[in-house]
Amino acid sequence: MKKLGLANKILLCMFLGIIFSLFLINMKNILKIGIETFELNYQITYSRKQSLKESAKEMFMGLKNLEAGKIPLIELNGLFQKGMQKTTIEDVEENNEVTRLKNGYLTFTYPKYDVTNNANNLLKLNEKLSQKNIPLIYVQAPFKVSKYDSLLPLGTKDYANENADQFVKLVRDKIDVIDIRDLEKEDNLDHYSMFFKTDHHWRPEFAFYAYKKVGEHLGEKYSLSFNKDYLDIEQYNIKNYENYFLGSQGKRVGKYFSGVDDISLITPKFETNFDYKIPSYQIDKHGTFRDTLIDFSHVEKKDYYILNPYAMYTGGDFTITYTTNHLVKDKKLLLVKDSFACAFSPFISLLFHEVETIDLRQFKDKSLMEHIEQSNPDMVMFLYNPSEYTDHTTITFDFFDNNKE
Amino acid sequence: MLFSSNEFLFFFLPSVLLIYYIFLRKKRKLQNIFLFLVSILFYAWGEPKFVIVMLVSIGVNYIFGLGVDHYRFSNIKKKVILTFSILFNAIILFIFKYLSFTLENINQLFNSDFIIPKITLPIGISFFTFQAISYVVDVYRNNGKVQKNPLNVGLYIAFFPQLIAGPIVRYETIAEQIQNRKENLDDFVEGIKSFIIGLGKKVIFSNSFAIIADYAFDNVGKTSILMAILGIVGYTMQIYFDFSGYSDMAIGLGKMFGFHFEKNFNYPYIARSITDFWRRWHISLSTWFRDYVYIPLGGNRVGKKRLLLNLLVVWAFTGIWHGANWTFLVWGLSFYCLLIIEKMTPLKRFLDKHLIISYIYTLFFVMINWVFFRSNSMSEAGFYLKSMFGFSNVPFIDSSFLLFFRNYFLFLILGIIGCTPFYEWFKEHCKPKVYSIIEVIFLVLVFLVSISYIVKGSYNPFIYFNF
Repeated sequence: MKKLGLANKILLCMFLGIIFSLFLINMKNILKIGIETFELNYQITYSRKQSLKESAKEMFMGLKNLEAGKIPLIELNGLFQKGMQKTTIEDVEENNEVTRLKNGYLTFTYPKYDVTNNANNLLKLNEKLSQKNIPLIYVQAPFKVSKYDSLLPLGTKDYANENADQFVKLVRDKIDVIDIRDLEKEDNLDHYSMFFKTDHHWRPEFAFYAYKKVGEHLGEKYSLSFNKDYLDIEQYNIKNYENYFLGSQGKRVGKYFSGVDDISLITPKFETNFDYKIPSYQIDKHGTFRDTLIDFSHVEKKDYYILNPYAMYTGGDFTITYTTNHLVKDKKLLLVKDSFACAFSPFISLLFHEVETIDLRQFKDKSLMEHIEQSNPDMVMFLYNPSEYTDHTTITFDFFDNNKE
Repeated sequence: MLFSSNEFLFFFLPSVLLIYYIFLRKKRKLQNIFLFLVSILFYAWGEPKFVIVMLVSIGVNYIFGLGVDHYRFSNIKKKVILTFSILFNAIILFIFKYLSFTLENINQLFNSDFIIPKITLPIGISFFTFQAISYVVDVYRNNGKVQKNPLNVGLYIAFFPQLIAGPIVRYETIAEQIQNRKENLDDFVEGIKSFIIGLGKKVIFSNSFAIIADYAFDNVGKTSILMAILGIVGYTMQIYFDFSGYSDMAIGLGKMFGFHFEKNFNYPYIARSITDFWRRWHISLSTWFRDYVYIPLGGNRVGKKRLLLNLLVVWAFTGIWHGANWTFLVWGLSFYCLLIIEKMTPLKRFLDKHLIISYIYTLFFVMINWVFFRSNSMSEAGFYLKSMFGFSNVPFIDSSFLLFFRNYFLFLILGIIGCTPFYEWFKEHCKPKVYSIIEVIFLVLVFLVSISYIVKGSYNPFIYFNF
């Protein structure tokens, strides 16, 4: 046998080093998972056999999904795919394919979808609400890909805006629709600067813009009375968290694929006094806007892959939340929302005495209509972004199913 | 279990290496038993219920091997045992792989109503059955010693590197190595190199090209002419990088444990004729058919008519071996026709003289044949070919073509380079010291990028379910 050269020795060490170090870290993690699962199951079932079975199942799953070294490897993968000039990065989940727009922004794309049923459901809900004299306002949030300047790479198709256009067209005659996409066009906003580069959500500044537009509309059309200064951005403090946020799209491809984002925290300069309740998490806060509607745990440190700084607004998506504004006398709003409302609902809460938010993706105990009958709001508002018009989100337009699990 | 999976790379392989080299060092008997047991575990990981089929195959072929050896001085008796062993293996393969297909066709042809059993194909059955036949035949031919220990037969048939996707290792190749192999660091490092190259072929290239091919074949008749062409180019690349990648990984893993398997692919897409192509593509399969079917039928030392018949048998078997579907049979018979034309006409001589034409000719027919190979039915293949050649009402270009071309053009360029012996050429023309440094950097990068795809959880199709 000839002597092994230096290069080969390096290769040997690298190969064995990588597989064995990941093996050891994995084993440690998997054993931990196994022990924890066993203990948890044993506390519930008192059956060693059953607990061992569950524990083995979890350990087996742990072997399939390697966690050790995942983040640097995802980043390396993003860097490689960028080097290979790829604009679309596939994902294990088909709907989470990430596309890089011509300006470097990342987006999900959506196929054509027949929105007729969704529209009919909303029209039906509107009829029911009209009988109760409850106005319904539909706020069409914008989509990351601009309706007017798509910047999609060659060959990539996205129908999110087209689906939203169809939906708005079908309901506009009978329902009060505020289409933020049209308003931003009228106001000549720079669409992309209002979105995160690496996340599908709008920036808080854009959410504030939508709040302002909605507030003005509510004042004009529904005679909602509130202090007009609340709509003025000058009355707010803005704190910028620089290079602090890697959004859900960025997390899939790593920070080197498209960089990271800043995120700003917008809080009122004026006096506020809120109660904020999240029953599913037994959260019950009292205090100022900052104390209640902002969850600083999401920005307590810079952690691109674990934390989600966008969720500092309201704390994230919850089935149902209740906000009471002690400085406003009356009116109750029910906001049926998706995650775009996280950065919107704290501001809209400044204009109402009570705001309830419902996320139908998680709301399973009863139908929305049943809830409305019990809650009796003065106004129902929907805030959905165009990605809601897809097969897998029909649940967000299901308002009458009483047989929810 | 797939080689390109977390559980293989970061659990199975390190555990097996650790136990094999640390705890069982220099204990050949125990090492062989261990390798057999972990091979069973490897197989059972995805298909626990079919382990029994493989174990029965091992056990019965072990007994046939002993029988053939016992009667080695009695031609008739050992021939009878050999015949039974081949029949046994053929029946196992037939039941699991071809019974439903046969009944379906009988029902269609004769309007009968045999109940079609729903039989799941045990992964790798074609590979391990062919190895089992190879074992008994090689013992019969005195090309390898009979194994007295059934676990050694088990190790030969079920050894995990080649169990589910080949290469088909002939018994005579490794009979001696089962007991007397010599593991060494040089081989181990060469094994690592081969494994990494194979992993990169599979994970970086094949899986990427699979995205193009799967889209094109899932949308037959809906895509443009250019997308259909890109789809078949993608599949041509996918199947090469997948199959040769698995073979490279198997050869590499074999070397890590001291086994030397023969090369299975030799740059088939630079072949200058179909004859040449089949000397370079899935070599272990074509040589298996040559040695265990074609030559026993008389080979080419027969009359012209018989030769044509022998070749027809071999190519029909080659086709149907890949799956129980008419598409595979047509694929095999199409190659048969091309080979006959090359054999019987001056075409081959013409091709030898015209370099560019010979490349275009070979690739063109190979790619047309991949359409049959990849399609789920003959009608689908027909639609695909019509789309490709513009005989159906589809546009010349569409957004999907632009999307895939935009995203994969660099993969395509590197893939084309990867289909040529560029790596060998570079090695020859580079100073050895410089080459060794570049090679290590290259391999480490390929390995890291490959595992980045695996850990991220990317598209990772397994295309040997039919085999």
